[in-house]
Amino acid sequence: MDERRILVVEDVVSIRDLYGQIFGRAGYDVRAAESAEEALEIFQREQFWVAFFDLNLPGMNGVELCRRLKAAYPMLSVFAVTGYASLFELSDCREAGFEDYFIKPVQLSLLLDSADRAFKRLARWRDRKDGHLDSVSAA
Amino acid sequence: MNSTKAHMEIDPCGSDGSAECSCKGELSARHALMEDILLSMPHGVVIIDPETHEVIDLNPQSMMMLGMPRDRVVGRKCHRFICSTMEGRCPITDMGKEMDRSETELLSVDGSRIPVLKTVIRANLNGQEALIESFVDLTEQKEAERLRAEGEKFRGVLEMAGTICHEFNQPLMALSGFAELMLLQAEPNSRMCHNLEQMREQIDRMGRLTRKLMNLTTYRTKHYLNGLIVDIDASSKGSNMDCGV
Repeated sequence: MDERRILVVEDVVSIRDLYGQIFGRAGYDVRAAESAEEALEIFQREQFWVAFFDLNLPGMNGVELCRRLKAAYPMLSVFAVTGYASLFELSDCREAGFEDYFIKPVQLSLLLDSADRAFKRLARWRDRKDGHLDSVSAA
Repeated sequence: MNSTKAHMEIDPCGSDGSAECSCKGELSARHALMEDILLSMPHGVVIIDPETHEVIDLNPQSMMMLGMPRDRVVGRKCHRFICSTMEGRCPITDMGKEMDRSETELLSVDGSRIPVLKTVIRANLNGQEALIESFVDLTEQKEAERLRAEGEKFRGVLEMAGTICHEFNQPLMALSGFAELMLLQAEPNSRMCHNLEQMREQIDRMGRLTRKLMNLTTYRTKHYLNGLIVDIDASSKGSNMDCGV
């Protein structure tokens, strides 16, 4: 996967900074937005495959943002990272399309593992797709 | 109120043998009706001698509430198990009230106290002065009040817990994350590494606490110094919520 780009949506600046450092250190290209609306703008300019959303955001919340983006980009892997689980029901998160759900404070290694697994899965999917296209061309 | 009708025959016409009730058949029919009412009503009724304060008679509901048969109650002083006021301070006979209504407790045979709403009035039973005490069992009402009060407290605790989780978990995430980041950069086995581990351990501890707060399911308290505090362990369901979906 050459596009190792991650979008983080988080309204707390220090946590955005933290995500930038930890994912950057792991070799990812990180874009950060402080609101759902800003994230939607960024998505109009750039393509992402993996994203981490806070749920309780100013304006549109993370669940709604996930619902909209998954409708437009079904292959996008989105992870929820929230400070208070009860604000949103787990079923809402599943229905919106979140792949996994973390409660703050969460170990960074868990977030890194999630990003890693998501990119590997996308790579496998691309390989299968390319293989299928090659076989169709050869036939 | 018993089957032989030897007790508690309330004269519905008073003690003067009034002309209105001269017909014996009518009188006995009214007696039977009164007795049926007393036997069937869901409230306790006890007849007390105002001079001695001894129980003269009681209806079946009173016996059920006290957990005692008639012969263990009749002849005993009412202060012992029916009336919570001290001897010599009866609101009717000592304080001169015509009627008294108050919330009090019955002492049942097993030592438990039954909250009741008690009404006492003077009456004339076949020419004999008596006190009629009737009481309504308030156990279910008190339990409902207790549950409602507990529910209100629990709602308050949940709201506070939600606020704490929401407000605390953000800085905890930053602290935990930066400590983890610094650990990655620190020299292995160094003093810095050790100190950061200590920091991480305490942040994790606070994180476990906020997780418990998010899982509060009941309202339990424990003693702390001279007061009570919410027992977070007893009030929360144990579950690991790191990953959910």
